Amino acid sequence: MPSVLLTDSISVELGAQEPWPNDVKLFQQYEVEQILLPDNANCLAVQAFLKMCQLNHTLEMRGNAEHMSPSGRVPFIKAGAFVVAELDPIVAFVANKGVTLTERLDTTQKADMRAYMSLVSNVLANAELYVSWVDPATYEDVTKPRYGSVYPWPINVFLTRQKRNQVVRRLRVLGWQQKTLEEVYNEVEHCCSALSERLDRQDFFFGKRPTELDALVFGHLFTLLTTPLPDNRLATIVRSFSNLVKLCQVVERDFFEKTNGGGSSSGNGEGDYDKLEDLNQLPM
Amino acid sequence: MELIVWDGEARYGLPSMDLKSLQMMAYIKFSGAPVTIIKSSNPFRSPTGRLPVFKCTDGAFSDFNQVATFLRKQNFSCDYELSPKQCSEVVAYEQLLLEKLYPALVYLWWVEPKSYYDVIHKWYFSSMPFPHKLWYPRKYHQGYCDLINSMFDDPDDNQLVETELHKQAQECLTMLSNRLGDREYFFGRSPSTLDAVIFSYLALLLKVDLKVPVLQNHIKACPNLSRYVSKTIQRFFPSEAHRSTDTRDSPPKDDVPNKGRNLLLSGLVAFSAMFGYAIAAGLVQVDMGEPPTEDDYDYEYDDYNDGESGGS
Repeated sequence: MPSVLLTDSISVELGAQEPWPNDVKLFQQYEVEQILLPDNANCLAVQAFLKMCQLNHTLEMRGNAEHMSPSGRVPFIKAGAFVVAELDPIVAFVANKGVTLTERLDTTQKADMRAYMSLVSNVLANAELYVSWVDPATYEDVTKPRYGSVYPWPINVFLTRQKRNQVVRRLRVLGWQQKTLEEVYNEVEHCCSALSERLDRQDFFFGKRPTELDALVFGHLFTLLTTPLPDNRLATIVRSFSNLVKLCQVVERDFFEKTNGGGSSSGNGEGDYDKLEDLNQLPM
Repeated sequence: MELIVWDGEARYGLPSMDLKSLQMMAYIKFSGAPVTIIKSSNPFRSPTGRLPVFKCTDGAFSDFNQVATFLRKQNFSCDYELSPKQCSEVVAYEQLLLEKLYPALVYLWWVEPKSYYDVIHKWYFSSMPFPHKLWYPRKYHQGYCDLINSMFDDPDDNQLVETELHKQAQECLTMLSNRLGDREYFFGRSPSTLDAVIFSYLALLLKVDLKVPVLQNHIKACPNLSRYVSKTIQRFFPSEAHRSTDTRDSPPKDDVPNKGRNLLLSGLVAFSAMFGYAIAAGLVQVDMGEPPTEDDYDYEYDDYNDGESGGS
């Protein structure tokens, strides 16, 4: 029989014993030459979340970050004796230490927040995986050279092919591999339209203060807006929703530029982000 | 316009035993569209190869969103009273259920060995015609096992898989219960697309008795959710609600009728087969020779005349 209560109580016990350590490291792949669209989105989302919680961390880039991670996915953080991967477990880990962004939300709003986070993880994340690994143009031009760039020949060929098979199999059981590129773009547009309706004219999704939903949306949309791909349809779609672009600009200004200005140790690679304002001058 | 769906089960009081079928049936009933609903147990004849299938002037659809879009274009919608913000919530909650509740439902029905073999496979095997019953249940089982395996790095660790799926599902059910609160439906007094989707998940989890009843008990422990399911079935599927109360009142029927007669017939067949083999193999000799002719008889009699009298 499943023992849900036992696993939960164990994780709360273990997590609550120490405060947030000073030397927490966030691991991801190399920003400039290796990282891909979906991983970049997840890493940015976690970074945004930790900055919103004002939890110090340093960014460490490793070529084999994906294989170091306990769940096989980036990013993951090392906090003292604990290694936690992916946004949801990290949010739960941080909550065990008493830090949360959602204390003023009531249960209905928390349920809504979780629902929108599922929407982003199901639609945007799968769309990014599709574009990176299933669409032939992007796979040949962008994914293949980048994924194996840190390994010597011939292992880079094998690893890339193995990863592609894994991703395609996963997308097939979820029903995404059978979609055409046009259908994927429609799903992304539908998702962005739902997010835009919900955000409306507010600063953040739930009032004046950001939550993990804002971090997640920022991670994905910023990545879609700033990553150059052979076909820029995704960036165009996101750009057509002005309140979502404004949300990304606000989060970037409030949480990323401040630390850059202060010259903190977490800034390797963040200066390389294309600023959102520059992008508005790019031809559409 | 017609909709062909999987058959239901009167024992559980369910209009249909399939998730997507229930979603489409609920949407059609909520929106009042004039669609004939046909129950079937054979996806072989369906134009898309799957059940449920919605046949209309635009073609045949098996996807819930396509059906909803078509009906909306014909002005049959249950979302008239929803604001755009609420419509976006519908989209978000559909994804939430897909992420948290769908894997648990699929696991409990199709992957978990005890429930699959004793309940689900038995139902599909007994409802489907030969020879499709030999192929389809196994195909679905394999497909869903692949789905669950793709979600976990170590799919052989059953305890971990079950715990994780149940944890997500229970969180989701609690969130739904909190969201519903005391209201009749999720968005006010009349049901919407979201109610069609949520109702289908809850009805299947609540009504079908599985060997691992954790989620069923969780729903029963949220009185507003179980009331929500019962009221929807009573209001929109009254024939199924009536049938389930009927079957509950009558004494439990045997799965196999005429058990005694079958036993007797099979016993007779077995006995005659064994007896025939025994005769053919010579293990048993039945004395069916010719009656002794007069010559034989006299010969024997003369021999014995010297000795004792009588002979045979």
